[in-house]
Amino acid sequence: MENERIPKLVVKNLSKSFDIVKAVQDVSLEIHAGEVRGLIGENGSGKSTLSAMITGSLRPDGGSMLFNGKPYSPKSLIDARSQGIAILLQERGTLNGITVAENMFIGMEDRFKGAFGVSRKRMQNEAKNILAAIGVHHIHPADFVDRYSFEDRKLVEVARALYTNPEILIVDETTSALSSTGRDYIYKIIRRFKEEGKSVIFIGHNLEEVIEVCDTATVLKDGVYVDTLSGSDMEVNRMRSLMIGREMMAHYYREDYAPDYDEEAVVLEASGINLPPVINDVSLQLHRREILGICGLSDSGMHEIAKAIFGACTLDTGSVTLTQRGKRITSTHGAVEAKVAYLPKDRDSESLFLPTNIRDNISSTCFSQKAVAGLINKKHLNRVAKEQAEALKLKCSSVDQLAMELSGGNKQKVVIAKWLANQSDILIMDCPTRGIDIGVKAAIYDLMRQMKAEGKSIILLSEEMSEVIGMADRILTVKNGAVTAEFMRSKDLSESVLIEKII
Amino acid sequence: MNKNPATVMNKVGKTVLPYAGVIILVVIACVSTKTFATAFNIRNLISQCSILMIAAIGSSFVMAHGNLDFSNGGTMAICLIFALALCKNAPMWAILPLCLIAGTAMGALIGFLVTKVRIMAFIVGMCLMRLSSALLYTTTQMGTYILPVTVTTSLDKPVVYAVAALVMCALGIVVFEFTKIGQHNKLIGANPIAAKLSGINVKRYQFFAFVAAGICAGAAAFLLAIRSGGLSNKMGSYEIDVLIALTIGGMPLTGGSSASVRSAIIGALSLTVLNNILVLWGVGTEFVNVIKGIIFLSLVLISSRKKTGVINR
Amino acid sequence: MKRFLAFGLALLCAFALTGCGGGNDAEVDENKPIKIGVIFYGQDDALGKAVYSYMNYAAEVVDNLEVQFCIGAFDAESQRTDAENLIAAGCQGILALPIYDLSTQQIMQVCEQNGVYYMSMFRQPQDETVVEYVNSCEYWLGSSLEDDSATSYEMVKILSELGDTVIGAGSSRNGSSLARMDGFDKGVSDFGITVCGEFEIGINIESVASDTQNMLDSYPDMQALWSVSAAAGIGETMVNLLRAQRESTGKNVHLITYDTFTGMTEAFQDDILVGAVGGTAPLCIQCLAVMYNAIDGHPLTEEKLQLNFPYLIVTNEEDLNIFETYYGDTTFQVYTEEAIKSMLYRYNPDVTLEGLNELWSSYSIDYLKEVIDGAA
Repeated sequence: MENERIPKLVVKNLSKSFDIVKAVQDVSLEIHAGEVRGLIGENGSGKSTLSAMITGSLRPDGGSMLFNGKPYSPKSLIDARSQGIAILLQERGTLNGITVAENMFIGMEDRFKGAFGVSRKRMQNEAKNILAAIGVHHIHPADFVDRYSFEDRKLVEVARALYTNPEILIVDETTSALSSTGRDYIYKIIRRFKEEGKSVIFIGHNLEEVIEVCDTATVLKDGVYVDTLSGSDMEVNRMRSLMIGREMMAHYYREDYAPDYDEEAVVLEASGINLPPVINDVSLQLHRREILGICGLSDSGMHEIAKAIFGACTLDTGSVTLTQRGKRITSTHGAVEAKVAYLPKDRDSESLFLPTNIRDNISSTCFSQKAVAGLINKKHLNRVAKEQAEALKLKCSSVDQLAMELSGGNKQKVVIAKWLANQSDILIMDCPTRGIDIGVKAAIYDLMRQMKAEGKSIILLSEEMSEVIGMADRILTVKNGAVTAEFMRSKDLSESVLIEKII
Repeated sequence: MNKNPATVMNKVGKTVLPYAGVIILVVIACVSTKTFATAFNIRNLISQCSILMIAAIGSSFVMAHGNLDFSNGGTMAICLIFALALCKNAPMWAILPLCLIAGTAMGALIGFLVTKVRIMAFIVGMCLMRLSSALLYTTTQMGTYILPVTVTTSLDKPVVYAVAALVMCALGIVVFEFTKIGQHNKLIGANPIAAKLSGINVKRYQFFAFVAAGICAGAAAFLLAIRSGGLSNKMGSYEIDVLIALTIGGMPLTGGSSASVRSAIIGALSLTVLNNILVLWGVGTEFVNVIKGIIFLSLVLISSRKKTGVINR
Repeated sequence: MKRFLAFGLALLCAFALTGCGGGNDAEVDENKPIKIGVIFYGQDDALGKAVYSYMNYAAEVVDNLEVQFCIGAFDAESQRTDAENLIAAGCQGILALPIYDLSTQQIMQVCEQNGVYYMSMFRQPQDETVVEYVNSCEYWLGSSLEDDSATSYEMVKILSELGDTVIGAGSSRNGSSLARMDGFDKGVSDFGITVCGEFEIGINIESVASDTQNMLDSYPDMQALWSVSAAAGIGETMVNLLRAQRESTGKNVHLITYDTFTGMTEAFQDDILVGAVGGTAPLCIQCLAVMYNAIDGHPLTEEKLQLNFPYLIVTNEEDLNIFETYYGDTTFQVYTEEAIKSMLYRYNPDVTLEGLNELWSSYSIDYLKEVIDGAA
């Protein structure tokens, strides 16, 4: 490590604007050999734009970069990779319809050129070796990539990124899409990089994770460099306040530590619902003013349980009943009519109409509201949409803006708005804060508190233990499609207790 | 809301722009021919475009939820067979209600086949097309079903076509924009899963869309009966014309939120005016299709939204 | 709301513009060209190509004649639309090959309302109410049809002259082929021919093949086969079967048929084919002449015409050669400039319907030969 003095990567006054939006302004950074640097900030703070410039997929408007002391201005992702900087992207980066091996060597097929064209065999052997090098043995290079799960495809990408032996690896919010086993692969790789004197830039939402993984963390806000923390300065509350530019409200989660709901008033009851193999005999009760937490791993079946309660699956046996009305839920439209709301985990594909404006998204649950002679009351719907947008502080140019143009947090606000517009009494919220920055997260928790106070009931499903512990009155743990334990709200409840029941 | 001139202009532009293609075509036609703007020709244009427009209005409901409607021609043929041949002895005034009844029934049948039996709408339309042309052939082999000239001449007036088209446009716009049938179908087209999980009864509203298309096809069939004077042994390829008209009018093939009845109106007008001026210009038959192709392309470019394109990606 | 407003505006705009674009050419010009609209189903097949070529040639050589085509309509409503558009484009007469009786009625209705002459080419209205209606119309000139009945009669005559007295018939006794069958039946009784068997010629080539074979097997004394059609592979199939029959049994059966098909030269050489019938496309010039004279103010007759136009009957290899070389080449003009002008009052004030009928009925392979010799 003789050149420890010379930073591996120097970023000087980088700027980038999209139209009038200044995505990154005058940001400077130095990253040293063997350093794992966190990059944090709210959605839209410029993290992804910055990393895109470093990896050549965007051209900076101004500023310069030095890589190993030499001027560096990559022309494309492939150019950056060949120079030694590779990235793992947030979104899916594999191409369907071709094999794993072909995916791994896109743009590098020449290496396998023999007398008879590209040698598939050699390509596949090489792919196998690379996968083995990161400890993955269950993915076969000759298979079509479509066969594999999201997580496995991510691993293919990891292997691809590592193949060129990069000196700097950028991990862009990849882990939030992975399960714990998938994350372990990535952590292992990061550790190896560190040991080999290479550098990692880690972009993440989950601050706890950043603290654990990174040596230092740079905070960006609205495209501007705020500060770089290291050592004991790397602390969640401090990071949060730097990110949103003010002291975090003291009450992020609930501050009361006792279950508080109307035990007598069961509003919804699921009895013996079965949908093998994903749901196995689940029964639960939801009370008035209750936040019922359900936590489990992604593949535990809890997402399906949420869907089943909402009437979106045809059950083998069992029933879901709205006890106070004596009405069974058998379809989603029945559920919505009975004022049940469902906020899915994958909001882009399951709850939002992306190429549609905000108003129609919000109206989607309540077209018949204040109908005049059976005709839709557009004025009323427009007013409702505007009121909701205002109340939720939706960042948009107007309710005519298309949903696809919004950031993740604002998209989730639109989803919430559409259910509030329908005056839902029971809300099934599946991972409501997934991929959302802290500001909106806090707003969602506030809203949950408020709805609870208004007498509504919430089922909160989450893969984040702290969220469930922080918000729920009662917690059910789910494993293999069945409820494994029930915990009441208490100050002493710890994540490890829950984890024991879900793994 | 701020009312600064730029945004107002922008809004006006957004709403007028899709019509720009038709307006430009009309202007060109007026300037380049002496005969386009004669009362005779305008009367013809009205009656020529009404059938296509009404059929397309119905199809826009189906297109809105993302299905390719290929059933117009078939439904129209069956309406006519029902009203003119099967109910041969019914009084003349009954033709319209009979057509509408048959159209509704056909729409319901297609809706059932698509939503419950789960056959693709396109396939159902194709089968119906074949079936109806065979039925037409056999029916007209067994007898001729020609309306008395007195009846056709008394009804075959531009005002009848104009009123029919305006009524169907108005109904179409109201049902599309101001009832759940239109709005839900648009959302289903935009994202069927999200629609289901937003409590929209997807199958039910898809079914309604087919019924709406059937009713419109019934109304169109009635006008066709007047205009062609009875039951012909062959029928125009309305399923294709309607698709072309809707596409020219800016209807995205995948449906969704930019779907609108407007596409049917624009498309039918453009197509009719285009066919008319090609004849008025006396374009040689060798070049008709070349010119048609070029104009189609430019019309589609004008009427479809830049952001989403003709086909959503 | 704004959207509707915009729509209204657009409509208003359109109508305003139509208003200023107008302007009638009120002046009546003696030398104003005579414009005739032609509605035809296509221009790709033999008939379509020939009609297109003949009519355009006529428009070229006759100074004040303009012809405009609308091609491709296959149903009554579209044909009506074509008629409307052609009239809007200034046509004073419409010639059409109506797809169906309904088209005849609708085109007639549009023409009658606008004082435009209409004549039906290659088709004659069948339905009584339609016939009654068109005959009541001032602007109905009539129809012209291929001379099916006389040609069928002639075909039977050719067989009888060859000494074939026992024949089989591939027939079609529905709508459009009835006239062919009438002439056939008449010929059979006039020439004392025995029809040993008859089968229906449908669109299915396989059933035509098996029916023909059955005829051959069941009636060993059959000397010839008469067929109402040889289109779409029927002719080729029949010739093949007859040839195979001769090879296996040594017995020769003649074939005479409507339509022309491929492989006719060999069939004539083998003495299997003794006659083929086609070539009626110049019928369109006949209609054009009737229409031109009517528009020009000198109609050939005040009556509703029911014209016929002869077929070319090809009976030997030499005729076939002429047929294929000249009729087959659609740029060859069967009616020369001189002939066309002789049909028009403007150029030939002595023209009479009787004279023209004589000219038209002389259309035959021999007439073709004369035209060719005249050109040479």
